[in-house]
Amino acid sequence: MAFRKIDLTPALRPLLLPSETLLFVQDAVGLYEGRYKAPNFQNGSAYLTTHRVCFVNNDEPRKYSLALELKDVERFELYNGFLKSSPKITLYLRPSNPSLLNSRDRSTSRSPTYSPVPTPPRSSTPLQSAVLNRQWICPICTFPNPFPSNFGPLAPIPPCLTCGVKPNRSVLDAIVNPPAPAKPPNGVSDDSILQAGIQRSKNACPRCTFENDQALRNCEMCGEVLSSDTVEDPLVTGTSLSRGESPAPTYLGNVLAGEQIDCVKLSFRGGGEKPFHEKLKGAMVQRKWLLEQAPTVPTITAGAANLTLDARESDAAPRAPAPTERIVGVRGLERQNLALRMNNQRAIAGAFEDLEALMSRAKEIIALAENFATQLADNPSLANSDAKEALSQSATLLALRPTDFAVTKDQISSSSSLSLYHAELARSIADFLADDRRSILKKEGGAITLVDLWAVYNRARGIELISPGDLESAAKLFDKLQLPVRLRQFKSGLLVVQERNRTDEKVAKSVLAWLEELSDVEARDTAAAGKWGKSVLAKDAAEKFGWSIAVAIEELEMVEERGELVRDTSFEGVRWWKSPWYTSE
Amino acid sequence: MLLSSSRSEIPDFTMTDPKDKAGLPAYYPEFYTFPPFYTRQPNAASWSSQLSQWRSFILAYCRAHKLWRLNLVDAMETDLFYNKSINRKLPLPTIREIVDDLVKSSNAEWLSSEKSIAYIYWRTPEDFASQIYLWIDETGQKGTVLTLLELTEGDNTTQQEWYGMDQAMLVKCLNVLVKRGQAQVFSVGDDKGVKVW
Repeated sequence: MAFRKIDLTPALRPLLLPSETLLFVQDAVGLYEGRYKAPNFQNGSAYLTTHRVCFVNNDEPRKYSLALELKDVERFELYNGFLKSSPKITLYLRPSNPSLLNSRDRSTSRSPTYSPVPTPPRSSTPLQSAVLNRQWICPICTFPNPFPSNFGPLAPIPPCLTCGVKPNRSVLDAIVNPPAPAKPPNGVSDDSILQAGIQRSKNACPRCTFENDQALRNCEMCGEVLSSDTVEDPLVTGTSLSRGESPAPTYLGNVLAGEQIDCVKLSFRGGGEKPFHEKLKGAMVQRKWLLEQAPTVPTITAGAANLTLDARESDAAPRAPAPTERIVGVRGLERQNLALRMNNQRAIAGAFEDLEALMSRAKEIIALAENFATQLADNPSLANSDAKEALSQSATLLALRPTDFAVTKDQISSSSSLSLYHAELARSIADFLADDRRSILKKEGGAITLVDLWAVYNRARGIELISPGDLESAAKLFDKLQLPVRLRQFKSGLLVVQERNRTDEKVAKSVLAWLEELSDVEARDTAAAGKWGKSVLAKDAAEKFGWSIAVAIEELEMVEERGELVRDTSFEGVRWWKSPWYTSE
Repeated sequence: MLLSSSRSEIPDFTMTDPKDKAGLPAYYPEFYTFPPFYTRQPNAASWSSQLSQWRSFILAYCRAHKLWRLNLVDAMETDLFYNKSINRKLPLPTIREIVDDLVKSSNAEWLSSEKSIAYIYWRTPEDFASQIYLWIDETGQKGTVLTLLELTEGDNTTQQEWYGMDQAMLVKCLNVLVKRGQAQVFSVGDDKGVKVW
């Protein structure tokens, strides 16, 4: 199966794997399967990462988003476009699924009882893979023609490639609904059970009658598809269903799921094919996906190699030598701790030796830093709070690393307008804000001023900083892109980014509830003074809700605007009271 | 609920005597101790409530104190606009805004265009005119000439609402009667007289 459905982030970008990085984004891309346009995949963005090519539909991203693993791509070609035909990049897939039946079966349902057949040797070429596909035999010249991928009850029947004569429709129908599994006619063969057993095991080809090995799905001699009882039923039902609902001449829905596609085309209607091609070339050379399977960089001292750097990992899979395992109790724990600490020491010493080492070990060091940070937070024995703060801050700084949040201008094709860059930036910011690990919005009480966001976001990026102007332009696109955050302008002109579901009503409600709560306390203390409740300053609200002062003032004024608060301006500042005049309709 | 006690613009006269818990006469609105009451609310809905509270309070206060004209700058320092217990003072522009609103509903009148002194009509001139006519009728003084001073300072009128009324205001009220054709105002030297029939 070439394409896989992918998960999207809240901001509707492809969810990247841990080690995956984004290389390039291009909008206005359409998708072709083989030679035909894929109906629901004609207007979207193509994301090139180190591991995959992802397609995200613009209109219904959740429904029509796919990814193609680069490791399945054998080679690719650039087509520059001609007249009205847009430039395209063709990705030729590795023939990982030799048999039609196999891929068909996967397309309908992954039946657990069906054991996959071994894949053919890697050396198979696209030509071979084409042979493996379904064919129809010309009744005139007996040339095995490739089966038209758009075959349906309404589709025109292509003529034979050799003699040019159109076949009878029944010829093609016979391929779609193959005859009963090939067995010699009963009348001819001996009826003995033994014979039948041999027939079964021999797997004879329906066309040339060569008796293939049972494991094969295609005839060794003529390449004809060998039918198999086990997969026939799902195949037939699957095809009839999909045929029924999409008789379109261009394309059939289930083809997407991997049926006999040997190539996929990306059509670049808005240009950008050249940089995409370049980046793709780079990605295919680097083969980052191979790194995942590769063994991790060996630890610096061989002696500690059996201890992983990450404490959590070592907990999960204790591979400590046998003698230590046997020591139980406090001593065992102590020893384990000691070993871990020594290992950490070594890791840090090694990592900071030179820049190369640091880069290769960056991940582990960051994990360590995060570990330290949490340990510091838990550790009450650390008396010097200043040092603690400094340490944890530096640790969190390290932990705030640029990952998939960093969209840079060079990832966006220059041909498309700046707005694509801003859209991608907006998506990345939305992801950044939605990231649970950071929970930035939560820390900021659900709203963050654009200025603060700019600082935090740029700090997270570390490098490739963005300009305030870019941030503003990106933030203005939040609504258009239907992201989970939105930009809000207060009366004073202050721009704030907040969660989409955070409405004024909710804020007003929480503020009033808080005031109510305060006055309850007050009333119990001094019954007489409780007539008007208690008033607050913007500072108090900022403290209570985690807002910045500017946001607090704006939010309070927003509630005032709704008539639920009244202000009291005096020399000590503006105090806010629950409005006795407010009546909710 | 909170508005009910002082919603009517002309509260009952009997309300002046009893004192509430806070030691204030009853015509003081309960908002008198509410600090935001002394800040002009930017919210339109809140302001309109606040405004109507202030309007009725000013009228009630002037009535209780028999104030006919209000010098805004002086009044700022009185209990009317200055609550010393919570240390809040209604700022002058806001006072002016409220009086402006009173003028609009002809409950007040600026003495000059500087808007520093205003007549406060806690009854409209028409009301006063009717009251004066009724009193003259009841006391059988129709057809006799009364000086204005007799009306506002005389021994017979001490119990009347218009007792102590500013002369200029009284002329305005009597002019209502003149317009109705029930009275005639004429000058006798410096004094003015009125004849009602």
